Amino acid sequence: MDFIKFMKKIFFLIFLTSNISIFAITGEEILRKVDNNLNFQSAIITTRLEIHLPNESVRIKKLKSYIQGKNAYTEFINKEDKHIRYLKLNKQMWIYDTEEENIFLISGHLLKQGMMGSDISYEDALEADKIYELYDINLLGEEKLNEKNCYIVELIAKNKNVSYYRRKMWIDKEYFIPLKEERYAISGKLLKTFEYFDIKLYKNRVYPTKTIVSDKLKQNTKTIAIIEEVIFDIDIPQNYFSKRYLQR
Amino acid sequence: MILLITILWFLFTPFYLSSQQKNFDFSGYFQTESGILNFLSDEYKNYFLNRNTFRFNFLNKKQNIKLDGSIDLHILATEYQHLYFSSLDNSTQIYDDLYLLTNLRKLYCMLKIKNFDIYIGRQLIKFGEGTIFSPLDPFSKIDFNDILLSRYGIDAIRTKISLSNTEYFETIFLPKENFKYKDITSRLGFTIYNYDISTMIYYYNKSNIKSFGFSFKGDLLLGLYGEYIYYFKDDINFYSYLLGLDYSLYQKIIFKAEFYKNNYDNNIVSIVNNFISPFFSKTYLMLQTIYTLSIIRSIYFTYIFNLDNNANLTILAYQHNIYQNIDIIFSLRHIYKDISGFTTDENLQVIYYSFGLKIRF
Repeated sequence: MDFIKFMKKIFFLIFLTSNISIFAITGEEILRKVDNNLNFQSAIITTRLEIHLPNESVRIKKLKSYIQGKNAYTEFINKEDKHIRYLKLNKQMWIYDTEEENIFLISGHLLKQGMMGSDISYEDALEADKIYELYDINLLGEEKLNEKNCYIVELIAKNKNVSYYRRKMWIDKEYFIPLKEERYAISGKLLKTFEYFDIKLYKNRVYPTKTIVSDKLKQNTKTIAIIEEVIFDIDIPQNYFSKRYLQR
Repeated sequence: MILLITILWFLFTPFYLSSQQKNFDFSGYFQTESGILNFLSDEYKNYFLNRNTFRFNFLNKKQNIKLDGSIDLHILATEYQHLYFSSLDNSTQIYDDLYLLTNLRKLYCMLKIKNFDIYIGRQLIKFGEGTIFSPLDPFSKIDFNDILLSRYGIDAIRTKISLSNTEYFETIFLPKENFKYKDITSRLGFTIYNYDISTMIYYYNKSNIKSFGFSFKGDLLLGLYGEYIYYFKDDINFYSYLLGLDYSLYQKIIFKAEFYKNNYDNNIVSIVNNFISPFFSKTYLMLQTIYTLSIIRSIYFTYIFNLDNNANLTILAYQHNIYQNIDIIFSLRHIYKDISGFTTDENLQVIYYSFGLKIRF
């Protein structure tokens, strides 16, 4: 009987440890949960960009974006830039200047340029694919960041056609949204950091409404993107995502 | 000068303020530029130049109709009017060496009827992809005194039909010489394999010349774009083409290069000058660099070289945004011979240094 009790304990311990390994979360599972929060089918977003430069007053830009799937239409609504509009259809982007009534295709390498000179590039703005489809994901561990428990996840690009070869993310364990991200070139050079704040709840998702982007190739500059208004999962007329609407 | 600016301000401010309640949208800028013009020839001469531009844009937009306009008021002092007289109408001498030039850049009405858009009036129309050279574009006249090379409008009736998100077909009627002649052109635009492509045909009523051409823009390691147009009529035929490259470096620098060539016979220049103006020589090269130091500082360098007569035009400019809507602009222009190739002034060499202030509203 003692032997049987002993064997039951052994089997219980084996069962316990095997179940721990079955239920431990993987890096990909973490990113899928993150994508559930951050990716959306459609949205109308009003964003305020504060561009901080050394020894200069802050430059403010405001824009309104209509986003559906991989398509987006954006127009600047601050007075100085009201004549500029963008249209993104899948991987292509056009700029339209209403004052000159001229439309430009931004393609390839020009997508690496910062939008209106900010630290956010056109490539950053174009990114819409699910992260776990583009990257191999490793869970590096856990850490506390800004008093919050985080998973640390490393992403290595599956192919070279992505904007950043390597990414390192701190993911809030409670809400599954990134709190910080570092983006690296294939050489290992740190290119940009993204920090996320002011998390808000919108129906069935949580979303950070303040993002600070620092371009590490420039000194003492940062761009703060603040979402002033957002509506998720709204029907947007298809004609918004056309050259005709861009040039209206 | 100050009195005139004050009058303009008081005239337009009430419209601007009241537009907040109505559908009218007003915008524009005031720009002043002063500089020294040096003629580096046998008779060395210096001139002080001053140019002031008030651009006023207005827009009234409802669901299916739009009224869009833009007018430039230039006040030119001293020698500047000689640079401008050939390209602008409606000048008035308002004082000794002071001239007022008005340029209605655009004033048109647009109607939307289902998939059709109809534009009537003076409009900014651009065909092709070129920055400086654009053989496919019979409409645009570039203001070479503007470092940003803005364009002037053209009177036309245009109909455009959207075939898809990116595809369109348009037809443009252009009355010439008080409706004595009517040119007509059609263009088809589409996107394929991430390339923007357009094809066009044009009929020039007065000279009875026809043309057809195409343009493309896309990416192949470098940004690649080009245009080709072929003109023909009885025993007259010639072509022009453009090849352009652009590339971005370090997310701050954009390089552009354009090569332009045409092969028209010199004997027919009087017939074809409208098609090739302002570039009358056979071969040109353009190099351009835009260096974005930051969101508030940019350097522009443009070099245009006439390979036939070795004339060249160099523009170097530095633009600094000192406040949200205020820019200062330093520029230097060097002209060696006649870049257009129209005259044979071998001694022409000019340097112009200027400082400008631009306030957007």
